[in-house]
Amino acid sequence: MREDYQDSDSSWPEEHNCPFSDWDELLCEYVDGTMDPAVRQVFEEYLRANPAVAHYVACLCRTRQLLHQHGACRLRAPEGFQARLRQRLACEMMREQRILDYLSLPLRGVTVLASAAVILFLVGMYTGTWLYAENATQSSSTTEISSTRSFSIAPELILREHAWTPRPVLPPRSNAMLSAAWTVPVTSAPLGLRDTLETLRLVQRSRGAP
Amino acid sequence: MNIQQKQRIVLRREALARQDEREKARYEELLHMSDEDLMAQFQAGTVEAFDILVSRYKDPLANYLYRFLGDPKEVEDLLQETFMRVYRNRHSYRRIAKFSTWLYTIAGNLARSEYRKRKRRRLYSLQSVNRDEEEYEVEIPDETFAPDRHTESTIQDHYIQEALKQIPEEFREVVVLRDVQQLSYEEIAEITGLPMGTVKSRINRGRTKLQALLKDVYPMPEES
Repeated sequence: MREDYQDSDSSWPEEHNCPFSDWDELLCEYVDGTMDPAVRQVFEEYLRANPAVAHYVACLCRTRQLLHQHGACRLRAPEGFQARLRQRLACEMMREQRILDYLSLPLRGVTVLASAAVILFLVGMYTGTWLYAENATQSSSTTEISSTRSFSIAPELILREHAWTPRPVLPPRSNAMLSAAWTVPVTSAPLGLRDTLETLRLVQRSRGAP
Repeated sequence: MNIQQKQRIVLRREALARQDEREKARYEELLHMSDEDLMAQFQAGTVEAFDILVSRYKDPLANYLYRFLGDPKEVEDLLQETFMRVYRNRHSYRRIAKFSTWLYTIAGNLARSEYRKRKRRRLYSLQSVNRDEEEYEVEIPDETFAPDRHTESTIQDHYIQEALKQIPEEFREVVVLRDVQQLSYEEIAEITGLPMGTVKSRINRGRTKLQALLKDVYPMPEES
């Protein structure tokens, strides 16, 4: 509360020593009759000793009384108010219902579309992954197959046959397998590979390998 | 019409009468409920509970809005808006608060914003008059007050209402809530969102201002 509050209109008594907010609260409680009885007794003694303050307080009591009487001649709600409110309420309920209907229809469509999109995405992802894995293994498997099978079968037939078979699970590569690769007869390996192998052997020997 | 059809009609009428009785009993039950219980019923979907709440509060609220704004023409609109807000925000009401406090808070917020809007409108119309001297405001006769047709209490009511209109909004609100609506300090503090001390202080200052405005109209007790 502001301490510098000055009410120019009121007949404010100046001789009280209370801060304004406390004084206001005290007066409010006294006029309303909500003051603690012990405090009230002391306050009434103070009023008896200060006639100006007592007059001011009496005026406040009179104002409060007037306001009470004023409140008693109550204004009522206009005639037919409740019926009009019921009408407005009915309109509001219908509007709410319409909004709900409006929301539920597109939601249903959106749900169907979203489900379809998710299913398509999953199928696409599975197919894509499978094809990619197939392509990655294709080159190695064709060389393996062409080396083991007889030459009477055309390579494009081998590829076609192999393309739709499940991807073979390859055993983990170990050092023994790698060393076995060194023993592959040079004649069976392709020309480019043979040169590379020989180069690698030379490098290995130069570094002290047997 | 054969006997079976007649029997069916009689049975149907009896069923309808029973249903009517049940509904009446239910309504009677609702009538005896507290505001908070009615609100709980309304939240659960019983529209009759809302109807009872409206019939309980329409008059006190109309009075409050009229004392706050001083214009009976605007009371119905604001009253309807208050109850519509209660309807729309029914699920946000929590039982920890008194229903009347919640309702007065809604009405008070509406009245305050309406009052400010009106003040801005008045300012705007004054500015437009100053800018263009050809423009003028049409004086609307106040038909709500005609001393020759009113009793003494109505004249008194008019003067007090005029005095209420002249005091600042923040004082008027608390004075109306306390002296006209006769709410407790706690309720007023909750409605206005002010600390209790401020509420009491504002009530006293509002009364002091009113006293100064009404001292010429009503003789105050003489100083001894």
